[in-house]
Amino acid sequence: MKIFVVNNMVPFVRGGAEELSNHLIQQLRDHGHRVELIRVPFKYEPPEQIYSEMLACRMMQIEDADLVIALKFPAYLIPHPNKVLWLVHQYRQAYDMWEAGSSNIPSTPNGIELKRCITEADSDCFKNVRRMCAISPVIQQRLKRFNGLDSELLRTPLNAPEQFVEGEYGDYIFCGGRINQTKRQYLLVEAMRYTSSKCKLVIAGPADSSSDGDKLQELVQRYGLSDRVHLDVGFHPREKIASWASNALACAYLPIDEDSLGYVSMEANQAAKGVLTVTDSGGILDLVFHDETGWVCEPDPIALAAQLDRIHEKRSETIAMGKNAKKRWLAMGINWANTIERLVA
Amino acid sequence: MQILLATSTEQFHNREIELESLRDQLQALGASTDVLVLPFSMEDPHVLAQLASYRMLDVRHFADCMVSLSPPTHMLRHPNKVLTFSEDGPQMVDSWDRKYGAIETKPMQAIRNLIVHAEQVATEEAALGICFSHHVARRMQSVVNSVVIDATNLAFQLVGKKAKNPRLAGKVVA
Amino acid sequence: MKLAWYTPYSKYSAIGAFSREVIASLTELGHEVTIVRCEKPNSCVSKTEATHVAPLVHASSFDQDVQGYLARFDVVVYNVGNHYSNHYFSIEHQRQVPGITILHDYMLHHLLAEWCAEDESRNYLDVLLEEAGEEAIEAFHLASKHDIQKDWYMSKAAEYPVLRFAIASTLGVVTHADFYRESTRKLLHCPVTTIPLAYPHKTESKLDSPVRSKGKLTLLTIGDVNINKRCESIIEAIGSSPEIASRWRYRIAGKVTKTYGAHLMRLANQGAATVELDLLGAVDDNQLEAEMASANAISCLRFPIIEGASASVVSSLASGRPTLVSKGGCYDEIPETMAYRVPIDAELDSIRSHLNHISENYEVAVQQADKARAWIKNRHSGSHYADSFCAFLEASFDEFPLIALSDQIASSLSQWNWTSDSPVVNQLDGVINHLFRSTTSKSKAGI
Repeated sequence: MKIFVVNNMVPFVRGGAEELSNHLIQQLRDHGHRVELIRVPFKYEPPEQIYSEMLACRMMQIEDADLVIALKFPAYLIPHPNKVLWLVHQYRQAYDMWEAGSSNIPSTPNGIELKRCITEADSDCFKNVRRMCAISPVIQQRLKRFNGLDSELLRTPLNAPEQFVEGEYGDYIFCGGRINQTKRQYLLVEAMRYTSSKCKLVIAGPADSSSDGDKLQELVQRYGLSDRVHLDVGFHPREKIASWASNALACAYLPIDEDSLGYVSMEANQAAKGVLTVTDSGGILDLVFHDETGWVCEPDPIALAAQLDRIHEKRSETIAMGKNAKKRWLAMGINWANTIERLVA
Repeated sequence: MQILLATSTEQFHNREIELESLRDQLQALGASTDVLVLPFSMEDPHVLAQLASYRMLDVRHFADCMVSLSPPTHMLRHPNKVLTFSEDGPQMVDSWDRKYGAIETKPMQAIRNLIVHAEQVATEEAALGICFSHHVARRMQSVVNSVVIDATNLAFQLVGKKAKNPRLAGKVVA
Repeated sequence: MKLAWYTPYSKYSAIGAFSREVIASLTELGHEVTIVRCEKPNSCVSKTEATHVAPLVHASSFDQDVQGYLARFDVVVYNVGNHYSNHYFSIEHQRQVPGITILHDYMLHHLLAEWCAEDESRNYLDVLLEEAGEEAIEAFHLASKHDIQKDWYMSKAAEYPVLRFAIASTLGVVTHADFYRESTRKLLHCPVTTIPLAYPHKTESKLDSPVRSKGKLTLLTIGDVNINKRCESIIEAIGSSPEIASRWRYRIAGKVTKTYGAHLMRLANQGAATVELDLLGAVDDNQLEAEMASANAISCLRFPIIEGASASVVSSLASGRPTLVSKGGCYDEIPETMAYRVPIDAELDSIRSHLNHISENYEVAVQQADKARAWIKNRHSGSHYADSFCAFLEASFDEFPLIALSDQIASSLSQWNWTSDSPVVNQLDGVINHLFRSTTSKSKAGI
């Protein structure tokens, strides 16, 4: 089958969606399909620019494709009679972020009109696709609420599951992923000062800004935790991340209201590690069940400290929790083979 | 220096190796690169709409320089736009003629005239044209300042450094 | 060029006769024309057929694959007049394959009414509101209180032309007269040109110049009779002056209903003097020729003036008979000295004055009519039409894909419920102008 994967791009900025589209293409090719990637530049400032970008996408044509898999706004507006939407992003600023008052679209008559136009174009596009899939229940709920549409849940699989293995269960808890305020690595560092055990923490990943990394470093220094908290800010190859996760005692991931299960937690489960998370972490709670596949507590340093101690002190319970997490994770069937099968069906 | 490499699906397969080689060389010279790929279909009657759609995208502030590797990405707007003209027919209108040359209807001729016009606009505004043969360069010289250069040395030209091998260095067509 | 030419083509169709003239000339110029009959299938007008001057097909024969069939042509030409059944496929097929529209009437209110009657989801007032605005709706309600035909369709509607519902997808329009060129361009945003109606006036040109008979002079009106033809005013004007009534008789050669005929006869006997009025009813070509031969002057009055051009006035001028025409509309294109103008606001006085003048200066009137005959024969010839039509096509060809592009984008915007004042519309317009239109091509297409 000749397939086009359609995504947009902000040049020189790479995020999860780029990673996803690259793996999707590789996996489709591995399944014998001929695949090309389309990357449409997207500039959402000033907001009025969005009009022309939407219309530009609508005016584009894809030739000679049996199937189009589209991921993001506004690239998914490119027309094709056999289009499957695997929705990573609507333009949230016109939806939930607008309601939350955190949109770049102003609350002026012009802004309200732009918001209406985005919603109209989205709804028209969605009703004309062959299949409508969303990567998370949160996205499904938004689609239902704002566009009145049902969709299938098709979660994103791990990109290199074979690298995440059940390793040695060392003496540290690993926290991977991007470092910023919404991922709340600082909360873990704060919690570490209240622990009574000798548990260790490894935080590793690229910081969104240098200040995000600096703040964390400063906290470690301030609380005198440098012997127990290892901070490795920066981009690390997947092998290194996999090694940290595979040999950890458990993993931790505390994002604010994440849409999806979170790559960090999925990788942890793949490596047979239980995950420590908090009650307002959103989609992570679809994977982490307290006392079964991990630990869920209030987003509070003292509550977190208690769980960190428990993870460290009840080692065999922690390991059992990790093994159980892996079992439940694999049973969910979230892998590329199933994903490709559903996308091209 | 950030360089945006732009290509379209129409001729993407022909240019993939060239693109990768250029990207590697630019990176080796210290430039950041990113690649945008836009869909394109030469099927009438959507050709003009697609040219207009490219034009509506704003890539001006994304990079210091934009290199159009295959038509019709030369329609994109950028103050420092570099066009590349391959040996076997650099322009969109050549592709059009290959596809529809045998069909001589008035409506087709009208679309062809409009493509020629759009190409002229897009080409004239470019900062530089890179040609891979003297033949093509001579043809393009009347519309854009063109140099003959091979793919290896295109990277040097773009980042403003001299090629290590002078034998391959760009030569301005008189 | 290969042209598909949609037209009604019954023996009695004036547009069919026009088409024959032009197609014959286009063929002489080396173009390949296929006549496509556009009447609604099984309608009474589709039962007869005029002489073929080119291969002919019925549009119904390829209704299932319009695009496929029409793809073989360089241009599709759609003749459109104010009658839905007669132009059924001209309307329906141009939605699928846009082409050039020859607009025979400057507004299409009757067509709209018929079109709405076809389908419950269509509404006359919705279209009127969309194309002509609130003011038109108010005017409609006011005019339709008493006699909707007389006060709206035959009068006020002319101030609020509607076209878009039928021919919005057109790539270019040919009008017969200047007076509706601008309103057409404004409604349709496409190249519009004016080419005088081509009309076969073979019969008329055979006629000798009129001779003053000893008795009364004969004033003639030709064509189906309705209030729009101002026969009542002619009768009133003659009847109001015993002197004029003693000099002129009035004959009407055209179909008239019993009721209206009786009304006219009553009117002829109500004035200061009795009007010698003959209602001939429908006449065949031979009778018509004889009537024109014996006429001393012809009345071609209209109000309101809804036609793009009047075949009657072309016939009349070509016959060499002094001709009375209304002031305004397509009649203003006739040079001042070649016809007798009747303004609607001084209609009776003006008719009286002209009839007096003609009868008192008959030789001069005939000389002037001879000049008008020479002028009209060239201006309204098939070859002149064909030449001008081809020139229009040549100048507009590069514009047609851009119009189609605008329509394609407009359709996307409308599918998204985006309004036409969206900022993207201006931006897109700028892009299209910059990429595709040079200054020279713009002035060339400034049609």
